[in-house]
Amino acid sequence: MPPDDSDARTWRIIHPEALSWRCWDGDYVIFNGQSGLTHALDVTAGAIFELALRGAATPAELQARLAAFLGPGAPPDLRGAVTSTLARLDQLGLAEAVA
Amino acid sequence: MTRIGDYAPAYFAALLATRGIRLESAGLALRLWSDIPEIADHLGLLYADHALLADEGVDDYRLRIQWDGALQRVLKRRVAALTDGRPFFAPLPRNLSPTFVEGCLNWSVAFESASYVIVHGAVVERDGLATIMPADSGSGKSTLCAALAHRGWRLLSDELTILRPADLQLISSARPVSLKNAAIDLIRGFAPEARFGPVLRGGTKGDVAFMRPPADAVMRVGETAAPAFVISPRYQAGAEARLTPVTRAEAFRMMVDGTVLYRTSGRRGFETACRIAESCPAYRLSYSRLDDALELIGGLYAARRAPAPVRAAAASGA
Repeated sequence: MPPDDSDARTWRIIHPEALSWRCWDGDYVIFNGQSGLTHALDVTAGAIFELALRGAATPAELQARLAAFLGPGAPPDLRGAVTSTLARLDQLGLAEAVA
Repeated sequence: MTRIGDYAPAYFAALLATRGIRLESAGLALRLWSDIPEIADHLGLLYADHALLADEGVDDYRLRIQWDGALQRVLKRRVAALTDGRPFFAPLPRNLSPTFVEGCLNWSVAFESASYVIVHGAVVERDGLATIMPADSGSGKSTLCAALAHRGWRLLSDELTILRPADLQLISSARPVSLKNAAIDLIRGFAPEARFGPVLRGGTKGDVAFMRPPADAVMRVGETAAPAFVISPRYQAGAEARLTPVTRAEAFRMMVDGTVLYRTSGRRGFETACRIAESCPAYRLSYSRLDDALELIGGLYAARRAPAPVRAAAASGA
């Protein structure tokens, strides 16, 4: 189920061992060995992916990590960015809510 | 080592029609039979510097080009191609039969080379530095490739970039360059020493002529080359020549978009595209005059000989 504004579930990256990825100046490319698909993410979505990859987290925790990670470059609407990115990662089969 | 050009034309045509010949392309062995005079002429002229493989050995691909049925053996108007006994595309008018040879060689390399990553694009090399030119059909990449091949660059391929992932080396095939329509006379004028087969008229892409690869490129076909630049060319009538640097993400996309069967190449295809994007400065090139385009590309090579700035490391995971 996609996240919503009140989501308190923990999100994690699915099968991280199956993923290869790069970040070049904020442009992320991810290869999913499970699906065989390659994805491109912008700096905000890519950062959320990278932060979730470091450890499962709730959307609120990811917002805090994102603010620290991107600093002044963080989007003004952190909650919206995390919510929409988790929904997108869920759709792509890259992330899932576990609790 | 026997080269096709070592044979008398009549003897070669008889050999081709009876025992057949074996050619190597990108490590694949192709056995080819044909009793069509245009095929013998095509090979005799455009593959004159290519060595034949020994008659014994395992064939990776077998191509027979023959008259399309009993009636055509009399009429001699339409030609069919069979690979391992099965039809290879639809029969063609006799005058277009040489395209079977080139099409089949492209096909076999693109789809049978399990150990390589294949990208739709030209490759040339100079001073040990190779330029990969991924581009769609009609972009002018073969025209630019033909021009470079006659101005000091070594031709590896005008059509298929063959990458060996293990050491990221480029494999040469040094086959004829396919030029279309206005590009034929353009290269005739640009490089009067270039040799061409006949203009093949009436195909789906208009007039096509194959340019013989320079002898030096064929002699050095066994030499690999290290990728140094990625340049995606586009001919634009009247345009000033311009090289526009692109990001590594765009370079990655150029490579992925051009990779044959990228989806089935898996992690190997992804990692190969990443390594090229990380190690090769990449550009888009728009041009209308070949001399201007070559000057810009030559400038990249000249600058590369000077010490290059250190690039920041990229974040990555596996």
